[in-house]
Amino acid sequence: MAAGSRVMVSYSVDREDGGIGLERESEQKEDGRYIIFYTFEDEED
Amino acid sequence: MNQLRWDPTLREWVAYATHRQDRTFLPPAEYCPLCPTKPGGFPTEVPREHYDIVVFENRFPSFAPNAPEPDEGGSDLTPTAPGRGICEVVLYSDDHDATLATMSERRIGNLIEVWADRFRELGAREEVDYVFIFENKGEAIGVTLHHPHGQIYGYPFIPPRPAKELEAARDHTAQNEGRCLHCDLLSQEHEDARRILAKGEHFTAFIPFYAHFPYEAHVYSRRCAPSIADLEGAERRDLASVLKRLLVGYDSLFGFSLPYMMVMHQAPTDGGTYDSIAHFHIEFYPPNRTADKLKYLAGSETGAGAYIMDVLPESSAETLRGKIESQ
Repeated sequence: MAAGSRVMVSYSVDREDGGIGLERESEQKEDGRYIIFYTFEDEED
Repeated sequence: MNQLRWDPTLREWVAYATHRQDRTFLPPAEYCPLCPTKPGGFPTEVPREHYDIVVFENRFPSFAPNAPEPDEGGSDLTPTAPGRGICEVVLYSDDHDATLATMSERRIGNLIEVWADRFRELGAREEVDYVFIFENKGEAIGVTLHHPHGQIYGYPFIPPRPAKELEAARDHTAQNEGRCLHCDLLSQEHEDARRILAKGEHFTAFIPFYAHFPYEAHVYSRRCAPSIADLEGAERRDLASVLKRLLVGYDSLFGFSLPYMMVMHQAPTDGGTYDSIAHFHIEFYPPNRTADKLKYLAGSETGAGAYIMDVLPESSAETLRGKIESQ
């Protein structure tokens, strides 16, 4: 993955068990470290 | 430089990460590296204007995936090894002034989902034998950044304290017809009831009979789930609820946001079998014994490994339970 490029990785918890669905988006920083942004199906307060 | 050195007197690894000496130390709020990057502002660790929950590789890791063989070769008696592993930072919120205690139960629930996701992903890595999720909160604990965050260490070994706990649990299971040590301890706490702090449908918070800190609290899953990733949705929601009640109680104890260390103990990820041995739970160690006095790990605790306490768990549990129930 090139620096600054963005890869969408979708992941969701099984809603049947009452878990909260989440989505994650991974990026690579310029120094090579990864960063993952998590967002959720429910709305925040 | 990430390097491990073996201490044969205690039979444990010590990790050296000398680059950590240069890490950011208590910057002013306007230069917080964990806040979102604002238009025209200085670039922080998070290149977005807003975020929900973020995880990134620690810039100053105690363990690194590609740590080289150490220059210092050691000896047969005191071997060395590369400090291979992974260190992540978990940002709970983009609100610099929030704490876990002030967050909504729903956000805590979202964070639990992230912790479970990280446990699964890091635990699957070849070099990681133990996924350790923790938070150091407050200057009394030595935090260098105030923004609400926790950390995750993927250790290349099972660290000493969980290893000792797992060994005790394995012995208990072998000597008690397969029963789980933690399940038996939880039953004892429920029966006694004097040290119970908060009960949900699936989790219980209590000060253990043998607490090492005045307000040490353990949060146990009722079901013998080996890890946070094994919890069902209803269990995770209940964990969020019990954590919220405990944390709000902590903050009302002395009238300020209570410092603490929060750690999770669960199954190693080294390929071993830990059914009825590992039992997911969270432990909190607040250092305060009063509003203005700390419990120090001094000569007896550090040099002898023997904790000396000047308050009984039944007494501190009664005080803390009162604060929790008055919310």
